[in-house]
Amino acid sequence: MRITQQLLTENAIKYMDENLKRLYKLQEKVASGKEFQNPSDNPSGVAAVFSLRSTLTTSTAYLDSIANTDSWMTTTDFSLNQAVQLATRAINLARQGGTDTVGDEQRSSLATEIDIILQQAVNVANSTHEGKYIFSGFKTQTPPFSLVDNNSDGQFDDVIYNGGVNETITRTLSPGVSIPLNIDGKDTFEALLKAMIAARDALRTNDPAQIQSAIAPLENALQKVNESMTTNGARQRQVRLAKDRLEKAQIELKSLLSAKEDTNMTEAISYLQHQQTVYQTVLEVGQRAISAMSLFDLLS
Amino acid sequence: MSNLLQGLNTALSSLLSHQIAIQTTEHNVANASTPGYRRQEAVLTPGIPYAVPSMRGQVVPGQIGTGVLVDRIRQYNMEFFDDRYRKILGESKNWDMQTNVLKQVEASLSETSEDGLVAKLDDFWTGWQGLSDDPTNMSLRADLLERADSLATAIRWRYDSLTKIQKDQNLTILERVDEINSVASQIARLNVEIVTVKAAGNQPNDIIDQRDQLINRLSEISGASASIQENGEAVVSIGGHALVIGATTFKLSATSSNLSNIYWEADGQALTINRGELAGLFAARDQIIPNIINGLNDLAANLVSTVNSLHTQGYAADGTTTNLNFFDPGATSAADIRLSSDIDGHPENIAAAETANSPGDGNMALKIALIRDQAVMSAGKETINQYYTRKVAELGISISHAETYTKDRQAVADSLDQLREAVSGVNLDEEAANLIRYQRAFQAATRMVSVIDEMLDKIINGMGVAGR
Repeated sequence: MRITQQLLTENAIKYMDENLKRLYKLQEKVASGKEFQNPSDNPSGVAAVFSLRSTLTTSTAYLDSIANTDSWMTTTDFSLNQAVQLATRAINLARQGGTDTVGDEQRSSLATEIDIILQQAVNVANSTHEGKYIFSGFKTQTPPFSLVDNNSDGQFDDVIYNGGVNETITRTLSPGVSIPLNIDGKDTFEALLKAMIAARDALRTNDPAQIQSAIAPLENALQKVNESMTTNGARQRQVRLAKDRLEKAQIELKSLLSAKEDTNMTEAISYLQHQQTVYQTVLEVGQRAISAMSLFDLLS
Repeated sequence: MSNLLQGLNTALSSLLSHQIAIQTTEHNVANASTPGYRRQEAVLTPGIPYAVPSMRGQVVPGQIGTGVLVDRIRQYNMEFFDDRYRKILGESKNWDMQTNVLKQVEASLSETSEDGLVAKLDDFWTGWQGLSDDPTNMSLRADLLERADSLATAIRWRYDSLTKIQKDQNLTILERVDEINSVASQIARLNVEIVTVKAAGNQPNDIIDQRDQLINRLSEISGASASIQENGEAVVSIGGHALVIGATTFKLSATSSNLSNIYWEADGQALTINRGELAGLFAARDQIIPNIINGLNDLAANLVSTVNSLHTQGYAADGTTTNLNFFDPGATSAADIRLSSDIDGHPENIAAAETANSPGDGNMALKIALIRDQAVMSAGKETINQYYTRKVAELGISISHAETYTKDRQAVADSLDQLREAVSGVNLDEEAANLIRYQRAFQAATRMVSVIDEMLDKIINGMGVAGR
């Protein structure tokens, strides 16, 4: 092939341009720390990164939700635990009052003590988590239980449930996995509170037989509270397992994402150094080709 | 009979011919880097010989040469290469233009940044999920509104910038149409000159170079092809329709609509074009960008309908207000998607609850958040996020596809150009060698003149002086 000066120049320019472009791409990779800047650099990589990022954002949202669920359940557990203690104390007082050895006055003071326990139990049943009543079903802004004094004798003689009946708040732990959040307040507390009122009134009547018969409902109600506590505990374990799993998955996702979109620095920098050397050589060769002598320089 | 004076003429022919040859060499050297220049050569040929006439046959045993003549100025031309070169050049420019326009689109969407639409969608869904955990929290509601509004704005903004880029191409199209028309009339004018010069028996080398360079430019813009007629004129056509025939040009015109189309002024036919910059412009403007816009419209319509259909069934924070749309149901395209007036500025009206009078119920919010995982796009095949991710990937593929094609076609065009240059280009060493050759011949001819001069001097001044 016949070579002309024009060809030499054009080739020199072309190769300088190509090598500068390569240098630019590598510089961009190293400086930005990202494997690609635009979808066109790596379309399938970008799609994979998008879906990984979405999954990561979603799992963060689930983790937030789980943290909130967990603390709600801890509050529930604490309240139920208190309720168990109050119920046990009430049963003990009722048993004490049911024996033949206690007198009239003592029974009356036992009744007063149960009345205080009753009010404490109502407070426990009206527990809140971040300002929301946890035993009220969906009616989280309504205190679930209130004591009423029907005959206006200064004594509360009934308890009313104002919360939602059979309402279950559900929380999603991960796509497709959801769990009931709340413990039904009516199921758990109504019987207990009513049994406490009955026990108090029985103690007031000073009739051991009646007092004895008030103990069984209290025990049954305690059983109910215990059951609820077990249910809540089981749910909370499930929530914590889900949290563990999600946290592990997040670490996995982050490392996947990094592998997909972050520049492999060792590789990129050594390529960059290599490319620099190549570019310098190309420049030198190009300079020689462009400024090569022709026969004209030797004419005399 | 030989003639001494004839020898002077022979030497003179050599002087003149080599002057022309040297001039041609000068012309080559001068144009060594002129684009489209093809090297020329003075073709030397012996002068017409003659037999010395006499009454009784030959006086000398053969014809006598009369020196040297320049037969013609030859051009190193490769017409068949030109045709292939122009075709591949048009293809390369087509992809190059597509790459340029689509790179603009890619840069203006900047989907890989934190500001990408997929990230905004994720924010939107997690906003709903957050609200479902704590539906009575007013700041969560306000935050969700903020996210939804930013999502709607992002969709509208994308639609606006895409349509703007689309319209901006009009300017380039009009510019190119003007250029085609002006180049075409220049070619027609050169055609006339070429035919005239040729008819007079001459070679219009430089005019041909100039014209062919203009045809190359037309191929770049519009993928025009040319065929050279016997008389030297070029017939240029675009997409099968004649643009230049001899001295006649057929003008192109662009419609003055938002998205201009090009038609032939003479017969009103639309321009069909499949190579050159214009083809790339049209492909980007009329196929690839509309594909993304349609994608945005689909996405907006689905987002509005799926969110609204759940939202209208839910209950607002007061527990009784229901049947409110979240997005404005009358604005379902990417151009105008926005929050409904019931919701905009009224975070309490977000229907997070599935049942009435249940402030703690976040089930509807959760259901809306879970649209994220539902395949509501493409007839139940993709989620909204997947759909848009695919659109972004498709744009990326279009661009990298166009880039690869540009590179490939450019490489072929380059190597054809190199082959052409190898034949038609100017090599300075060659020219220098020729220059020396012609210079020496010229010097020899001048020496011949002085020798003959001396001989004549001898005859005129030295002869017949005996006894003087």
